[in-house]
Amino acid sequence: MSPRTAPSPTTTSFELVLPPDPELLRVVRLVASGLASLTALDLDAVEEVRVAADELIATLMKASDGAPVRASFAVNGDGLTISGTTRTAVTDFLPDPLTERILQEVASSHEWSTDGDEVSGQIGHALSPSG
Amino acid sequence: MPDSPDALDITIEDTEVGHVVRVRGELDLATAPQLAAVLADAAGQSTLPVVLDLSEVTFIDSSALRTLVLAGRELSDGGRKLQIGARSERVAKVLEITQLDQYTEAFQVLSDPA
Repeated sequence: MSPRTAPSPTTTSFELVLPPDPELLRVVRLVASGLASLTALDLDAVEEVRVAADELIATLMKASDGAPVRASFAVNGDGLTISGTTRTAVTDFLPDPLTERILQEVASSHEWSTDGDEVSGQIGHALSPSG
Repeated sequence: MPDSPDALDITIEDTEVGHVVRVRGELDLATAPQLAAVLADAAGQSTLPVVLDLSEVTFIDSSALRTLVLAGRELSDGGRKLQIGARSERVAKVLEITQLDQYTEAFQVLSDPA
């Protein structure tokens, strides 16, 4: 008899579409920390998610050519993921070194990608303490 | 957007140690220009150091750090110093993560009296 696999944990996900207005970063931080607080993450980890979300979306807002930033939030039994994408006129997109240093510390994973005139980023935060 | 309890509030006090700039609230891409303007204005005054009190800053991101680096360099070019004095745990943590508490010519991180 083959071992039974555990059922997939429920995924909660939703999306925000934001104009590239830095004033809205407060909303992004509020949403990110609110979602993180619904998980098993402790207060320090919730703060890390808040910081990572800000760095991710602020970077995309700066890169935007005026197009909205689509921010997707998802959480399941393994962790929390925040993705963002926008249209850009920047041809040689590179995240700020300070942003990179911060994300390396506060996120379990992060990555950036470009595809034509679109730039995207994603951060992940594991729910386990080993992060 | 209406002001909230976390909206940025900046006050300046001239003391014998320098221009003390006290910041309260959140420092991010939206609010960093406000701090940049205050620091640029301070750069044109006297020769005393500009001392930042960030003990009531509840959030700081890389945009605000970049503002501090640029302001510090501008002050330095004018023969002045930018010093970071009292700071919240959140600020101290981000300075530590980015190693700006150890390796930058732009500003001096003072021993936190707190």
